[in-house]
Amino acid sequence: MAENKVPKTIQVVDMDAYSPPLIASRIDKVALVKAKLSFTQTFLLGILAGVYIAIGAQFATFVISDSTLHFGLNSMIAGIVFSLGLMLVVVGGAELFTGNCLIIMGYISKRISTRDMLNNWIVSFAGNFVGSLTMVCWMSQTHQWEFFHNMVGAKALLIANTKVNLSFSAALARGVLCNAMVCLAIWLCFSGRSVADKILSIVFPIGGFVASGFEHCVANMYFIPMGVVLKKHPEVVAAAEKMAGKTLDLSQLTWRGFFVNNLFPVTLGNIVGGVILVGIMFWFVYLRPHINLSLSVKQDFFPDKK
Amino acid sequence: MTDAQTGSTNNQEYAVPIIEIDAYAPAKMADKVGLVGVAKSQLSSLTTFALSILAGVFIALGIQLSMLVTHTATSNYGLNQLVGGVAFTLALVLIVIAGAELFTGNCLIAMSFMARKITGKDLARNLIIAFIGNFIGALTLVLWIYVSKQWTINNHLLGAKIVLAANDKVNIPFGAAFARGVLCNALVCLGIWLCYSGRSNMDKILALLWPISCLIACGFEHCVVNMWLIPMGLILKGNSAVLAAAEKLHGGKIDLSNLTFFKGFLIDNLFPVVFGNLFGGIVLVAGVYWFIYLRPSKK
Repeated sequence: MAENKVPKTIQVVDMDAYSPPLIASRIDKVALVKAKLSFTQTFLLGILAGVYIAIGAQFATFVISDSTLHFGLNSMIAGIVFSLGLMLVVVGGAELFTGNCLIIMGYISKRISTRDMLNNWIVSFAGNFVGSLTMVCWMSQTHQWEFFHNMVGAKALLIANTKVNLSFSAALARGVLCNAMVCLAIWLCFSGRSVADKILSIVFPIGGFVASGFEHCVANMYFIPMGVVLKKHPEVVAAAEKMAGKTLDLSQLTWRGFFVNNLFPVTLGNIVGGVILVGIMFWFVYLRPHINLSLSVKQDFFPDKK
Repeated sequence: MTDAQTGSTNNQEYAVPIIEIDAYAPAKMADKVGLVGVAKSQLSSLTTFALSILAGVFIALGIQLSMLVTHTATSNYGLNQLVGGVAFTLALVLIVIAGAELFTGNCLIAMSFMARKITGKDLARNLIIAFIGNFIGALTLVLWIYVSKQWTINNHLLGAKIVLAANDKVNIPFGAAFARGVLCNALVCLGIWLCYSGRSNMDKILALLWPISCLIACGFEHCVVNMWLIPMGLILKGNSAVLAAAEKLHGGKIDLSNLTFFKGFLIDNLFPVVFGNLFGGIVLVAGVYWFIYLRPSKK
């Protein structure tokens, strides 16, 4: 065997998390994959994403519906359980409008055309809307809101009413911060390899944005229509007034209030937060042309000591 | 084809796939920190600056979350501080995994300097750019969160909590601020040091959770956190509804006379805290581990 001339090759098996330059190039390539999906695929995956986020949203509403813990702790628990929505989207696979803002990175590197990008955003937005409304129908049929003396419905109503009474600038600013955190969660997921990595990466940013009360347009597509539906049930309104300890002004809680006061500024804010704060910022840092950042610099780049 | 099968004594002749998935041992972590320090010092100023703005934003997101989840607590002080600390870990998870240049964490670059891999100028340049970028990032979020009116929730109770926390911070005596700064950055750098041992995201997040929640729960002073918290307190101080809520929360008149930008923030807080952070990071963590693993006689 001494004359065996097997060329000396060292197979490197890299198990470490992807470093940020690699995350950037992976997202850059994923943009191309997403742009190639057909209309039907994007739309169906968009519906799934809407359903998933709505499942997370109803879970969060349910868990905190009759809590006597203090407000801050309650919000944190709501955030942690809401992460279910994004876990389903990321691990299970779905096209979420807010997360898809990151494909701007592929657009700036000229991998996909403007048409591809807008196509993906519009179709996934429409899909998300359809999915969320489906869940609203479904959840109102389950009569889950009757649980615990209508307290679950009361909480959902209060959440929706707070959301439609935001001022334009506040809704916009909260939308920006929200989608910055959602896109960061996706960014962190692209660093991980295992499902456990991804789940732990999601819990902090997603739990964080929900707890902080930031506004996510797809979550609101469930929260607010659910409130509009529940408003028609006097027993839920009575329970909500008891919960809030005062009479409620529900005049803004209409479809008009939903679109004008909430969805429009929040969607704008989400686009700004995802596209500019995360997408363009990280593109500038890691993918811009003439960058002298050596992309081969990985976290495990130290030479082997022999 | 292993040695046992071939009888060969020289395994260099054959292709041997090496799969190593164990956590890195401390000596290797020191090597990695040294090399990452070199890589960081080679980034262009603009890249470092952009990344350090992000770090300021991330820290501000973490501390606002920590304020939010604790602001309504009326009992179980310690336990709620812990919850606030766990929430704050968000900031360091974003910085370490998503990638950003944090002034306090970058104190570890001093290991490359001590190992003579980079010059003092490189180290100073990185730390100064990171500091300025962190400051700008944190102030951006002050503005943004002010516009979002998040501080009005719960009848301005969140704003009140921020004002009280900021006021506490500007009234710390010099020695205490310095000591808290030292302990804080020792913990931050230890958190990052632990991350160099891990391979996966999960390793890193779990490694960060304990040191980082400890430093926030125990009330140690982190200069970048203060760059968000104290300016936010300064802005909210001007709002009468927030002041009324703060007095109600405090249970009496509060003396906000020291909550000012120059005297209170820059001189009484940031100055001692920054020096404490530098001492804790550069001497207590980078210096000690350099001495143990990288000093010349060890090579």
